[in-house]
Amino acid sequence: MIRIKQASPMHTVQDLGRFGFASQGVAQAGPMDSIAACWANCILNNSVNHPLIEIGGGGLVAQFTMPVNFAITGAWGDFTLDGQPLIGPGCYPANAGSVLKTGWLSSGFFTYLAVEGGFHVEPVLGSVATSQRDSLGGTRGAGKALTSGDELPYEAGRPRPLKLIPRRYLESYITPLVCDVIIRKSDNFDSVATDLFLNQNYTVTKEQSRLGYRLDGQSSINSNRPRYSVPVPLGGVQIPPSGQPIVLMRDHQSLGGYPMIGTLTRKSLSLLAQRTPGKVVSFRPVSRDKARTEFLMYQKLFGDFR
Amino acid sequence: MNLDGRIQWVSEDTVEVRLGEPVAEETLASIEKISHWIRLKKPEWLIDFCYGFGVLSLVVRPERIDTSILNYEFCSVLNRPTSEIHREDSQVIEIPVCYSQEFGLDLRSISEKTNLSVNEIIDLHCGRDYRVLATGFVPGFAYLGETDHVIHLPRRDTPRTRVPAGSVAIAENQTAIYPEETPGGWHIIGRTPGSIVSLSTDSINAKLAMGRSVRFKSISMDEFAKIEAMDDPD
Repeated sequence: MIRIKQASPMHTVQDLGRFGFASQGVAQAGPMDSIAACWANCILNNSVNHPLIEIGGGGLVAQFTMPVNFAITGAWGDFTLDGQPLIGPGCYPANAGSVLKTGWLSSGFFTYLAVEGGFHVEPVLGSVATSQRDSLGGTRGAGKALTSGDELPYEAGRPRPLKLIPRRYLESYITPLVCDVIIRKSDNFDSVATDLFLNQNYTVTKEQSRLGYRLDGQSSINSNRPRYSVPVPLGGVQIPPSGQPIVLMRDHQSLGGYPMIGTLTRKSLSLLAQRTPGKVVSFRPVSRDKARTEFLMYQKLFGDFR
Repeated sequence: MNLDGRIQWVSEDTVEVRLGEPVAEETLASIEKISHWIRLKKPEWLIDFCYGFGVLSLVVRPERIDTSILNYEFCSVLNRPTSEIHREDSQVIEIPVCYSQEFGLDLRSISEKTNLSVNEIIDLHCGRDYRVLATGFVPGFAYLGETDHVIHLPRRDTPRTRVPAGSVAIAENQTAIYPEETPGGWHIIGRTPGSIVSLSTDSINAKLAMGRSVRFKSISMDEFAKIEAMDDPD
């Protein structure tokens, strides 16, 4: 098993998410950066839906009680195994008693930790994904984050040499991000509003959570408020009365009452999730066909993708 | 019937279908037909779906479905006669509500805004059947409508950070019950005893689902306490 020695409220168990209950108001949850999460399972030859740990903001200390191969991907920084620095996202062998520390982060916010064969966690409503909002998932099924003393079982494995994720697949989490957005046909925005949205830089604000990220731009966008709440998609960009966008992340509500200007592609959403406050973001339109091709590429690469 | 112009891909794997006017009877019949078909057929291209106020949103496997197949499938479902739907949920569900001022935190302010007495507000709220117009927000939450137009009020300017579980509330042309304690911006008029949603490891059982109708019944504080005690597993 893995024994958690130090954790924060942003350290949770996740899988691809909880599907089939959106009509009853249940959040899908799942990894904030699903590309990095899928890589963690992929490099271990795990099924893509195996339970893993999402480490938000670094600061996890954990001990492996049995030998196993583990993968660590996504946000990166001062990470060590038994005091030896880890050299990059990939899969590493751990001995019985090995201690993994994820210290300060130099790039991104969400790191993913998986073990060969996956952590054994009982699903609730078909998924282990932790949703603090709905009190579902995680080690005890009630949506709690990991805490010191938690133990997650796994099967012991024979150590294999370390293997890194090919460099060409690694993404920067620091550079200004241009998000691909599928613009929505809508009566709520005129062309002035859409142009403004596409032609200014935004910064990521401190108001970011697993529900959504608020962005801040120089000029605010005008919109008409619809009368009724309607279903909102993952990655949807809402424009509330403040005129500053909110991007909907994994724990978002199923229905929303603010007008939506478009939806981020899943790749752009993953990369935005890794941006810390103050990072620069802008938007460019992409056709749904082009976005679909990219999505299917990830689906083929990982076996499944959400 | 052709839905072509009403189908929009909003992301790589999410497609929306505009079924009609949010509170129209035909729209509710359409979503009932489609939900029934989904439960029965469990199409392999469908991962999840969600409905709210005239819009059906589907998360799909994009390699297995496109606009034309979706159009064909849904049109054939919608063209079937309504009588084919097995109406197991057709009876009206009665929800007991204690409208005491202790629970109905906003009764007095609504009375001021509408120039109605508290008793008139209660009578208007209990005086008709409501349809489930949408479900979502949090598990077990159902948007019910439409309320009498004299009690239509915009949401509160400042949402409450904590609305007690079981609170019965109104906003705009709708009424709802808060299944759990959550933040909320609706006007609270009473509280229902017991729980309206239960959860097991593999299912959610919500009292109020699409297709159902609801009527509220005013009860006393004593009756409230009695039902609450019966519902308590301890």
